[in-house]
Amino acid sequence: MNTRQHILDELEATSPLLSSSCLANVYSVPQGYFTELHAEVIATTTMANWPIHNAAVDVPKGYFENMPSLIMQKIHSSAVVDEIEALSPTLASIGKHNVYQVPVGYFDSFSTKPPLTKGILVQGNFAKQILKYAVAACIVGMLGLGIYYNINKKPVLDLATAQAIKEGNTIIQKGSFDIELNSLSATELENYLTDNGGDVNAALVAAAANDEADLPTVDDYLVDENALNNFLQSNNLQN
Amino acid sequence: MTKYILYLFLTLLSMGATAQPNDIGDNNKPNAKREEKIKALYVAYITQELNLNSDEAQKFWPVHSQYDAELKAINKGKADELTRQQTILDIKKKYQPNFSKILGANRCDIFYKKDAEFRKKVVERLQQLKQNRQQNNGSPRFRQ
Repeated sequence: MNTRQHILDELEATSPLLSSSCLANVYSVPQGYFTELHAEVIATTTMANWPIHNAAVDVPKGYFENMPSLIMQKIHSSAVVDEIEALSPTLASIGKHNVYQVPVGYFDSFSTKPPLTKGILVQGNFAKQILKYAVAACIVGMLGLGIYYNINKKPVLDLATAQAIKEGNTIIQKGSFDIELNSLSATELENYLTDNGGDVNAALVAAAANDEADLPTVDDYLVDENALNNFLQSNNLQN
Repeated sequence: MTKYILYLFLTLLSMGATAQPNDIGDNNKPNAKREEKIKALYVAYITQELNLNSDEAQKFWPVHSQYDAELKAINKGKADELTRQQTILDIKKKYQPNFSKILGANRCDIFYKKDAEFRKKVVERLQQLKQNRQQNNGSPRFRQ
């Protein structure tokens, strides 16, 4: 009990207001407060209780009805003309003239009439523009030529064949076919046959076999078991 | 500006590159001269046998050049023998209409025969050279 009294004394010394209400329930409301609250709020916020008069939105009587005539009166009044003359004498001197009109026969008075063609608006660097179009034209041209040559692709004579034709014509003119053929070495002939897909030995056997007189007979095989080997050797065909 | 000049330069460069013939440098090969000689003999032989005039020759040899290149490509390949022979036959058949268009059907047939005949002549000459060498070495022929 002493402690409680001591606390109350201290509170009273610190805050007399708080001390006086500390025992009362501060969250209590008068009886019937919430049941009558909405009626109280509506009654307080009704328009009738507010003043309607607002000078800021008030206009004089008949203001909108007479407004166009008022504006025209102000425009025609000398005060406006005076103001324009004061601000810009040039503008005031124009008055009501149409400034986009030219005198009658104005264009006919020119000694040389300007061409009636449409002008070309050139922007930026002219050389750069031309170069850009030139590059584009080159690319398009190259593509076009490529497509054209691919479509109309014809066999082209290569350099080696052209040279061979030239030499071939010389051989025909001289009639030196056999001489030229005989001037070639065995290696050159073998290389030619190999390059053209031939089995040189098989070709030689086939060529030798054409001359039946040179082939071994049945008796040759009976007399000598090496008859075939000898034949091949005689034709220099054996490896 | 520099960018456009570069584009133009590259365009012209690529056009120049495409205009170069494909077979430049072929003549620099060591045995190119000899190959050319046999090719010249072939040209002379076929021209004479087919009796080609200049107009026909102008049309015939470019087509033949293509035909020859295709055959050589097959011969340099590593296909088995039967496939190789079949492909060669296919190429010959493929070019038959082209040659016929220039030479006519009859002379086209003669061309294929003469083509084989030239090859036979080369083989015979090779055989002759080998036999001469054999004789010079002193080995007797089988049948004397």
